[in-house]
Amino acid sequence: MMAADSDMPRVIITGAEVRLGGDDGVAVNGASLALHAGQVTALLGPSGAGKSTLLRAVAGLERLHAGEIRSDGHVWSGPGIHLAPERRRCGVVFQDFALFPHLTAIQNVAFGLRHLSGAARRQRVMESLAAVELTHRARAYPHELSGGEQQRVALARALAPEPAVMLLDEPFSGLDRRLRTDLSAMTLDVLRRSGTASLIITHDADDALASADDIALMERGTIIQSGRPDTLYLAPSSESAARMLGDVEAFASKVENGAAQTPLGDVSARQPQGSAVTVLVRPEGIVIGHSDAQGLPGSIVSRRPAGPVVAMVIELRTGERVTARAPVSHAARTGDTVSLSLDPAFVSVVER
Amino acid sequence: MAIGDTGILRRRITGRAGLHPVWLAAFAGLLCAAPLLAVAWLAVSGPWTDYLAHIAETRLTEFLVNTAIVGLTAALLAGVTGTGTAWLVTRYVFPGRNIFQWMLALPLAMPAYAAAYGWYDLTQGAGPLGGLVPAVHGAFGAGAIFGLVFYPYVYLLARESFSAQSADAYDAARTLGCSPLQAFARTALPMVRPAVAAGLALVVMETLADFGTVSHLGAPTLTVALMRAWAGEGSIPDAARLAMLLVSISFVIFMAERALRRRARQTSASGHVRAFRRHTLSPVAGLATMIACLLPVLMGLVIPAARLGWRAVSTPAATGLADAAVNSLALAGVSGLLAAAIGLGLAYAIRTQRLAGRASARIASMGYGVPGAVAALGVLIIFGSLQGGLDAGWRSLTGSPFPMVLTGSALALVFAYQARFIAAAIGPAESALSRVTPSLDAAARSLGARPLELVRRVHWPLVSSGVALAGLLVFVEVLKELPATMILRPFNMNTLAVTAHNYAADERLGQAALPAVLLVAAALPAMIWIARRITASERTRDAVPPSDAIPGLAE
Amino acid sequence: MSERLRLPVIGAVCAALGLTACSQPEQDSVVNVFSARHYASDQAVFAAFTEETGIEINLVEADGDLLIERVRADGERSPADVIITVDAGRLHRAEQAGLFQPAGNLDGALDRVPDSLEHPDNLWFGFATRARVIVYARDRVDPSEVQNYADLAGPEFEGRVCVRSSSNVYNQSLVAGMIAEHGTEVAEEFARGIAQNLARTPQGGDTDQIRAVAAGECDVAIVNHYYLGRLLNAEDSADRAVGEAVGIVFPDQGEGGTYVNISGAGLAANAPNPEAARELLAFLLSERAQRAFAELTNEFPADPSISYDNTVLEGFAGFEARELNVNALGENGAEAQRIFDRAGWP
Repeated sequence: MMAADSDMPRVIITGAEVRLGGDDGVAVNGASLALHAGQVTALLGPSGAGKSTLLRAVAGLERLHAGEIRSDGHVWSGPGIHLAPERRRCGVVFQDFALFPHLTAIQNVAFGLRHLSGAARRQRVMESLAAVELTHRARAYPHELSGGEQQRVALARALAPEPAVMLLDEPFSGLDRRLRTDLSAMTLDVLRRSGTASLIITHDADDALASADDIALMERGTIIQSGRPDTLYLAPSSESAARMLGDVEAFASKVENGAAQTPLGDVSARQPQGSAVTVLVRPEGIVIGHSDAQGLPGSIVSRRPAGPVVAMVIELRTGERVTARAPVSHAARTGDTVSLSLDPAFVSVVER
Repeated sequence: MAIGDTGILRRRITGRAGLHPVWLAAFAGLLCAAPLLAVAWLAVSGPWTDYLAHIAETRLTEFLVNTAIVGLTAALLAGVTGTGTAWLVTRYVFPGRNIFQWMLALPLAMPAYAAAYGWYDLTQGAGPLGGLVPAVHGAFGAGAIFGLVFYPYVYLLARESFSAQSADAYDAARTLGCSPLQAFARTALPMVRPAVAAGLALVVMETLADFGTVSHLGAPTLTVALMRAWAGEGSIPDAARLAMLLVSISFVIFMAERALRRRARQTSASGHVRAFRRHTLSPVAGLATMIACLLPVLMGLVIPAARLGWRAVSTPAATGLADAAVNSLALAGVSGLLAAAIGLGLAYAIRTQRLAGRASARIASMGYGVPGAVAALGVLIIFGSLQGGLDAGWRSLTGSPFPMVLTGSALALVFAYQARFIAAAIGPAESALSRVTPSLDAAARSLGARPLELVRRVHWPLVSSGVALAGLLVFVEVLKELPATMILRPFNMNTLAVTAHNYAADERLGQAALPAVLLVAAALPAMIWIARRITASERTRDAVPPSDAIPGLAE
Repeated sequence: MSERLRLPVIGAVCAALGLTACSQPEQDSVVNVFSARHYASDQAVFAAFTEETGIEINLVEADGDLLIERVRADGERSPADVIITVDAGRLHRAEQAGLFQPAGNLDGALDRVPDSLEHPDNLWFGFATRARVIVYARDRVDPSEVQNYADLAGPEFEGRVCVRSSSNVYNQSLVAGMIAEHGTEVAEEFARGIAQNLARTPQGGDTDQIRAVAAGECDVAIVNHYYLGRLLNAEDSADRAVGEAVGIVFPDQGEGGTYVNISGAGLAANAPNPEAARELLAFLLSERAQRAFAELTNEFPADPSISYDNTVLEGFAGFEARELNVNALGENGAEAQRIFDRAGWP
C-alpha cells in the first residue's frame, strides 16, 4: 500500500521524548526521524541508546512526554494525544519474536486479521506465509520451529494486516551469522515489496550499510544523524557517528587558513578560522604507495588480512600509528616502508 | 517440560552407584499411593450388595446432577476470581497491592465447612441477612462456598504464570489490533490456561472429595452417596466403589484438559522474557481494583469467620486451644517439608520419562480426589496389615507382638498426609524443576562447579520458590485435614481443625469460631513468607514459570 | 535369625522406638477411650473419674464410623478399652464387627438402666438418652395438631415441615424405630409424607431447623430435644428467644411413646485394660456422671432415679419413652436409609 505521495514521509517523528520510570533503561530524548514508504530505515546505535524505546513509542507501546509522532497527517502521539497501539497499523517484529506459544504458525499469522472474512483471511495468511516461504510449516507450533522459521512467522504475522509501518527490533540477533545473512536479504526484499515504511533496529553496521535505504544513528536518546548510507559513511556529522558505521582515524586539529593539519597532511576545512575540529579519515582514505611515491613516509608495523581487504597498521615518523586498508593483493609486508597520502573523498572535518 | 536430560540427571545424582533415583522416587510414590490402592482392592474384592443398584434406581441422577452443579459452580467462581485477581496484582499498581499479594491466598486456610457454617448461619431465614440475600444452600450455594475458599489455588498458580509471561506477546497483540481487554483475553489468558487448569483441577478434586459442606448445605453429591453407603448401609466395599468412581471422574477431567492442550506450549518459545512494567492506576481505578481484590478475601474468609466469631462472643471459649495450635503447626510443618521433598523427588521422576516414575507420581496424586474419610480408611487398612506382618516377625524373635507404632502415632499421621496431599506438591515442584535445563548444568559444570555445588548454586535457587509453594499448599491442607487426623492421632492429641470440627458438628458455632480463626492465623506467617519469596524471585527474573504441569499428571 | 543376632536386633529396635514402647505399660493404671462424643460434659466426667480412681484416661475422639474401622483394622492389637458413640446404630455396627465383649453388670450399676437401653447380650448399654421430638411455632400451630409423628406426614402440613437431611443418623434411627414397631410400609408412608411436606430442601443441623421454625420458614420441625434445651439455656438472649418461640411435643404419648436414642458405651473385645475399663463404664452410670450429662449436655440420664439441676430439662422430663430396645434402631438403619431414598427425602 503505497502512500499517494511517495515523497511525503509515511511517519514523522519530531523531538520525541520518552521517560521510563524505574530501571527500564535509557529514555528517548528529543529524537527526530522520518520514515518513507517503500524504504527500509536502519536504526543503529550502541545498546542503551534508546532504540527499542523509540520503536516502541512509534508502535504506541510507550507514551511520549514531549514531541510528536504523526503519520499521513494524523497525530499518533503528541501533547495529550496517544493513539492506542491497536489503531496505529504498525507491524512489529519483536526481538524474541513473541510468537504466541499456544497458537500454530497459521493461527499466529491470522491473529491480526480478525476483520477479514474466513476465506479472505485464509488467503491472506497463506500469502503471507508464502512470502516468507513457510507454507510447509503452517501447522507447526512455535516451539516446533527453528529460530529462523520463528523469525519468518513473526515477520509474516506483522505483515499480514498490511501495516502502514513495520518496526523490527533486532530481528536477527538471536540467529547464527549465515542464517542472518540469508534472512536479512529475504526480509528486506519482503519489506520493500510490501511498500510499507520500515524501521529496523540492528547492531550490524555493515549489514545496514549494505541493505538499508536510509540509516539513522542514535546515541543517548537522540538521532544524531540520518540519511543515505553512503552520505553517512563518507560525511559523518561527528566522531561517534563516524565510528558507528566503521573504523575511522580521528585527529584533533584546529582550522587555520581554511585547512586543518593532520599527521597525514593538511586537509581543507570550511569551519571558521581557529575553531577546534576533528579530522575523520576512513581507512580506505589512506592510500598506501611505494616508498618512493609522493607522500608521507611510514613503516608497516602489522598486517592483518580480513577477507578481501587487509588492514595495515603503519607507524609514522612522528611516532603516531594509523590504520589503513588495502586490497589483500597489496604487496607491502610488515617492516616495509611505504608512503601515505589522503583520498579527500574519505576525509571529513567536524567541529569538536 | 524440558526433557532429554535423563542421562545428565542420572549421572549427576547416582554417580557410579547404579541405583537410578527414579526408583527411590517411585518407591515414595507407591508408598503415597498405597492407601488408595488398598481402597481400590477393597472395591474389587469386597462383597457386592444391591446397594449400588438401589442407588441407581432411586437417587443416582440427583447425586450426579448435584456433583456437576457444585463442581462447575466452584470451578467457574474460582477460575474467574483467581485469574482476575492474579492479573490485577501482577499488572497494576494500586493501594495495598503488596498486601493483597499474600492476603488473596488466605481463604485457603479457611476450612470449607467452617465457611459454609458461617455463611449459612448468616443467610438462612433466621439469620441477620435472611431474606435480604439468597440463602447460601443447595448445590449452587455449596459451589459458591468452594469457589470462595479454593480460588487461591488458581490465584497462586495463575499469579506465577502471569509474572513469568513475557510482555512482548501482549504488546504484539496490541500492535495487531487488540484492545487491552482483547489482548488479555487472546494472549495472556490462553498462555495462563495450564496454570489455571492446574489450579482448577485442585479445586474440583477438593470439591468432589468434600462431605461436610455439601451435607450441611443440602447438596447431596456423589460423596454423600458414598458416605451413605458407608454409614447408612454399612457397606464399605460399595463406598470404596463410589470412591473409585470419584477418582475416575478426576482422572477424566485431567485427561480431557491434556487432550485439549495437545502440542501447544504455553511458555515463550525463545528463552527471552521481557518483564511487564506495572501500570499505575488512577486513584478511582485503583480504588475499584482494591475493592475487587478485597471482595474475595472478605467473602471467603472475613465474613464467615466474623459470623462464627460473633457467635463466640456469647459462648465460653474452648479450652486447650494453645496445645491444639502447637500440634497443628508441628504436624503441618513437618508434613509440608516432607511433601516438598517427596514432591520434588517425584517431579524428578516424572522428568526422567521412565514409566515407573511417571506412573507412581500419577497414582500417588490420585489420593487427592477421594473423600478424606476414605483416604483415612485406606491408611487404616495398610497399617493394620503392616502391623500384622511386624507382629508375626517380632513374635518369632521375642515371642511377643511388635509394639503398636503405626496407627495412633504422629508418624502415621504424617504418612497419611503425604498419601492424601502429595498431588498438591508435585505440580509446583514439577514446574519449578522445568527451569533447570541441561544447558544450565553444562554451563555450571564448565565453570568448575562440583555436583553438590551445582545443586546448591544453580538448582536450588531456581527451584526453591516452587518447592516452597509446594510445601505451603500441603502445609495448609494438613492444617485443615480432618478425618485422618481424627482417627490416626495419638491419644489426647488435639488439633485446631479437629477442635473446630467437633464444635461445629455439634452445632456449637460459637466455640468453633476461635479454632477456625486460629487456623487461619497459623497459616498466615507461612503465607506471607511464601509471597515474599515469590515476589523476591520475580525481581531477579527467576519467577516460577507457568505451571506447565497439572499436578502430578503432566507427561 | 541366629541367637547371636537376636538380642542386638531387639535392643536396636527398642532403642529406635523409645524404651517405653517395648516395656509393657503398667496394667490398668490407664484406660483407653475411643469416643464419638465431644462434649464438655465428657471432659468433666473423665476428669472426675481420674480424680476418684487415680486411673488416667487416654482419649481419641473421632466420628463413629471411622472409630469402628480403626478398632477393626487394629484387630487384636487395638489399644481400645472403651468405645463410646452417640447413636445405637453405631453400637450395633461395632457389635456386628465383633468389637465388644460383655462387661458384666458393673457392680449392679447396669441394674439401674432400663432394659430397653441395653444390648440384649450385655455387649453395650446406653448411659444417656436423647428424644426425637417435634417442635412447633407457638404462634401458628396448635400443639394438639402435632401429637404424633404421623401428624407431620399428613396433607395439612404440606410445605410446613423442616427436618435435616436423611443422611443424618438421627433421622435414620427414628425411621428404623418405626420399621421395628410398625413395619416397613408404615415407616415408608411416614417418610413419603414428610418428603412431600418439606418446606425447604433439608439443610443445616437440628438447631437450624428450630431457628427456621422461629423465623417462620416452616411451622414444625423434627429435632433432638437437647438442641432446644441448649437454646433455652443459652446465655445469648437472641438464642433464648428462638427457643421460646417454639413449643416442644414428645410425640406418640399413649401410643407407644417417643422414640429415643442413646449415647452408649461398651467394653472393647481386645481391651488391654479391662478392669479399668469396667470401672469407667460403671462410673458413666454413677450419679456424678449422670448429673453431668443432664446439666452440661441436656441429655436425659439413663438412670431415671437421678436428680439434676437443669430446669429446662426437668420441664421436658416425665414423657413416655418407647420401650423398644434401641438395638432395633441399628438393625433397621440400612433399611431406613433405603426408605428415604425411595421416598425422596433428600
